[in-house]
Amino acid sequence: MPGTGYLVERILQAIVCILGISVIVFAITFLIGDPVHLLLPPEASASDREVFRAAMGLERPALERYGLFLFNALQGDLGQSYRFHMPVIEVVLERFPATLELAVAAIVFAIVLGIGSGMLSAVRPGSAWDRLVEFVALSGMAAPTFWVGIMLIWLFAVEWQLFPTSGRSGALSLVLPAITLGLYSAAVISRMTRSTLLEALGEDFVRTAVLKGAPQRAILFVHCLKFVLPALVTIVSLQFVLLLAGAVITETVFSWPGVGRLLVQSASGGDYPVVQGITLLLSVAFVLIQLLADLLQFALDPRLRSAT
Amino acid sequence: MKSFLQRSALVLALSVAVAAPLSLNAQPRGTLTVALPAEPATLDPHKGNTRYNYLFNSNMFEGLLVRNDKADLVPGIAESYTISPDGLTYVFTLRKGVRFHDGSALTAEDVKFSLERAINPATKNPLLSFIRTIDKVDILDANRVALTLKEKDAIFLKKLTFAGWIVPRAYLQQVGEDGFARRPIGTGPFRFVSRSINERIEMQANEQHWGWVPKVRTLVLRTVPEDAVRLGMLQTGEADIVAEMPPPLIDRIGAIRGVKTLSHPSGEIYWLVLNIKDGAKDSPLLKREVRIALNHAIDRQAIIKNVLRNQAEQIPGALAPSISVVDPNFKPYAYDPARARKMLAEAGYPNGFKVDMYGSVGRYTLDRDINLALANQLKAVGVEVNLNLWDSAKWVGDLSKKYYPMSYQAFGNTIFDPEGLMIFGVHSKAFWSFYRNADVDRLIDESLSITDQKARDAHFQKIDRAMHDDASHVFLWENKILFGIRDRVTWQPRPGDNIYKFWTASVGK
Amino acid sequence: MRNRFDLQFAFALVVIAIFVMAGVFGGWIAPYDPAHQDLTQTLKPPVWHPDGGWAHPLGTSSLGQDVLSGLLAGARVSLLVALCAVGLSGIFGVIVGLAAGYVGGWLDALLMRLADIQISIPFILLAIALIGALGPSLTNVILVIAITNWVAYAKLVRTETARLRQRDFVRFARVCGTPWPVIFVRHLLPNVLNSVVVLVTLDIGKVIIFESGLSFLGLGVQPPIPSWGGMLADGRKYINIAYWTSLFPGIAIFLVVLCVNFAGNWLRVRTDPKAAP
Repeated sequence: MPGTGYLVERILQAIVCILGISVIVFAITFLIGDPVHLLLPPEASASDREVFRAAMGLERPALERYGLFLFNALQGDLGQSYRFHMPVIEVVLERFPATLELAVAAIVFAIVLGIGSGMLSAVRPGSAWDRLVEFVALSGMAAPTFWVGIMLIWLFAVEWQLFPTSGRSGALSLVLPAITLGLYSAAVISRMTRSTLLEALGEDFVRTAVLKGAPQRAILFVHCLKFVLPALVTIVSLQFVLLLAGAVITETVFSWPGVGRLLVQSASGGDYPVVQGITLLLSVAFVLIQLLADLLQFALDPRLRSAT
Repeated sequence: MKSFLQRSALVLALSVAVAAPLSLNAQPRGTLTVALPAEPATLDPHKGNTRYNYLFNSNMFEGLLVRNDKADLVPGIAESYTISPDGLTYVFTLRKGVRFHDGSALTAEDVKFSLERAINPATKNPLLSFIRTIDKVDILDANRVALTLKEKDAIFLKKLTFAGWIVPRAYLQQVGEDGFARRPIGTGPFRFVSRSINERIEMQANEQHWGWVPKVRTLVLRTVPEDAVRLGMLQTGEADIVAEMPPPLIDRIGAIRGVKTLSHPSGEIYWLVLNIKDGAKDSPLLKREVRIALNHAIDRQAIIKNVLRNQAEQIPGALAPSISVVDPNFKPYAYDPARARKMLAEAGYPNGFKVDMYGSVGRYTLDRDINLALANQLKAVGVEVNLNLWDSAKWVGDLSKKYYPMSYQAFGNTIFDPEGLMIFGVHSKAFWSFYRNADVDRLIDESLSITDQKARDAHFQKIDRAMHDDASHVFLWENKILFGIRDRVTWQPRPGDNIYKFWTASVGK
Repeated sequence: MRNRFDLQFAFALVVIAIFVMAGVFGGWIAPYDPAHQDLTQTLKPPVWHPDGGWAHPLGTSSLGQDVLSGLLAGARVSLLVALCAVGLSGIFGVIVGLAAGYVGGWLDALLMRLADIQISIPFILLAIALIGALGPSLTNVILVIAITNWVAYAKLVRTETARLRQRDFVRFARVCGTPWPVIFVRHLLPNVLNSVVVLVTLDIGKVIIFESGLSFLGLGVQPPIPSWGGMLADGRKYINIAYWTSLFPGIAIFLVVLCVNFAGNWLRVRTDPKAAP
């Protein structure tokens, strides 16, 4: 059991992480440029723009604005969206469940398909089955997301009308986007499962178990999986975050009302409070996931404890 | 005493007599689903600046005057108005019986509150520039409101109709700014029902509307950015109208059974803008002959036919035929690359010259392809174009900071008067204008005080000719917006109006 | 079994060789200048269609540009992005991972939290910001991908290193006083390399697809420089009516990625004595 000292240490680190992220994100919005011209129509005059800029508080020095941002954020106020004219928290939280739903569905699909096919391959290495899985997995990684998405829509939604073409409207509408998003991760997990499992199967303790006469399934699930789990947890946690933040293309193709698409739109539309809000939320989510992943690894394999 | 039978017959007859006119005024029926590539971010009419905001506003809210479905300027919340002889005071007489969507009556206080809110800098209204000439709003009595302007403005009413939306004071103060943006209330033909951000907005017919009750019961605006998916929705019937389809899909759309295409003149004018205001003193673009040469270098018909699939119409000069009266004797600059090269040589550039061009991607229809095609055609006459293609946001953001010698741009139609284009895009004082010509400036200033429509038409033709002769820009075309519409829908937007009004749309079986 | 593998491997090698040659010479052997526009030949289909012809065997783009020429010339961008971005991020990530896993303690915590910060910032956002500020170009695309890609290597290597550190042969080496660079190179690196190679082979394809994603947002390599990602992104608008504008660059990416993975697989099997064939 990890000591409370370790726990506290990790949590403190997580907080520092989040602060670091907030600084970087704030700095990034400076790089992106002036939102005023994006929020006003071409007809606005130069003097109107200056007035607008001052009214938005964009004239104040950067440090002051960051301080204000942090102060408000700690109280749960992420500011007002420049485009929606609603509290950022409200806008983001309204969209976040959609992305979460999509990412969870995608990762579940990826884990089931990935680990399943990876195990099948590892158990019969070199067989036709193995090669088929390998081909499909590699294909899944080679196909661009929007291509897969649009093909799936045209085949299953328009031609055969089995699923809705777009939008979030119930369990059926989740299927195609989840597959599109999760395909790449499924392939990655499949490959990693196969390689680590193969490695594990060659280990001494496995041979010992075989000699001892343990049934194959027990060897596979009890011994190997435990061996393999740390690497898998790393990969899965990484993939999950990639899914959360990288669902932009899938969300755009399927008009899924999630946070990824909102992020890009807000960056393009000059709505920087929303950009900051989403990134902060995603990073908190991520840091927590990493924390969980680390603790899980710790629990699984005490040898990983990097105590000096 | 009449018998029971006779009484029943009487009741029946009376019911029919009463019901008949009601059924002639058919009840709103059906649901119309429109798929658009984007949505209005905010639902507050005093805070939005994209054409999707204008679309939403036009269906939900109204001003003292409104544009009907033919885009004519007609009385709205005000049933009549007078203008003082000096042109500075407008007195509006309000229509009786106008109600907001929550049932409350519209009063003069609401009008005063709304207009003051619209011009208050604290509101940060992006459309403030349109109505900044308003000095004050006074309530004369329960039915009359007076607007006093700071200066005479011949087209004030057109601008007011675009930006002066009326909102309910009591409701707004009760729910606050955020609450209003979440659940807006207006007096328009449609009322707000619900919204899922970035996904859909649902509206319902306002059956108490004073003027025109919509023919459809429910209007759903779906946000679907991917063109191929909008096409798919048309095919499966999930959408009745899909808007802003890329021109190359026109045949594909027409091929779908039960669907027709609509090529709708948008009123948007596209130019290759030449920066004469900023930049080096020896810039070739400062020479009129060079600019005329550039006009000769572009093969507009080739681009319109092959890239835009005829979803555009060449404009002879600066103005678009769908929103202003263009001189029929006007001849556009012909495509003549040999002449272009000759003129460049005579102007002192026998080997052409180098120039930077900044184009957007994703801002206008097929803008990437068009930028590439234009650059290519210029190269063919010796103008070495260094084309920078930027994401729309960066392109807009840098427009004011960086020197763009040349850029492909469009100017939309918001007030149905060429003055909008002139004031905001041509006059040397305008933020978005890169042209400088004292004569044209003077002509534009004069137009501010011409009130007679025929005189205005003639005056703008004069400006058009002046710009054309000076080759102020490389004039290109007015584009058409491509719609896919299911046969069961009846809807006809007025050419030049790209702020779609849906209350005349109806859905058959 | 050996023969089958060799055949697969040979095929993969041939494709990769073609890819590399196209990357180096493609610009010169292409039948047309890929940027050359011909507005009278827009969206012409490939030769096997009734409207197509041998003038443009794989069809033309929306501006009449030859697709085949674009494929040949565009290989260069994919090659450069793949090699440089993966190379940079891989090397950096491995170094960080080794350091974190071996030293542990505060260094591990610091590096892993830096990695967390890095990966928390959505790739898209970083790309928009960096390329928005620096301008779109091949170098900047490589930079952006490299900056965001190292974390996977670091985390994986760190986990493996931490595990290896406890192994007898490593402890033995430390007891003997072997200097740490030698331990890294002789003992840790070879054992860690397996997973890294697998990751690299997965990564090359991912990076090529990332580049197409950046082109999707208009942040990739700019015309007139042709790139498969750019062609894929342009063709997206015409997928319903002119599949060839995006199918062929898509197939090119697909084939190259597939073959790189095969080759990587084969290499791994050969270099790791413990892995099953």
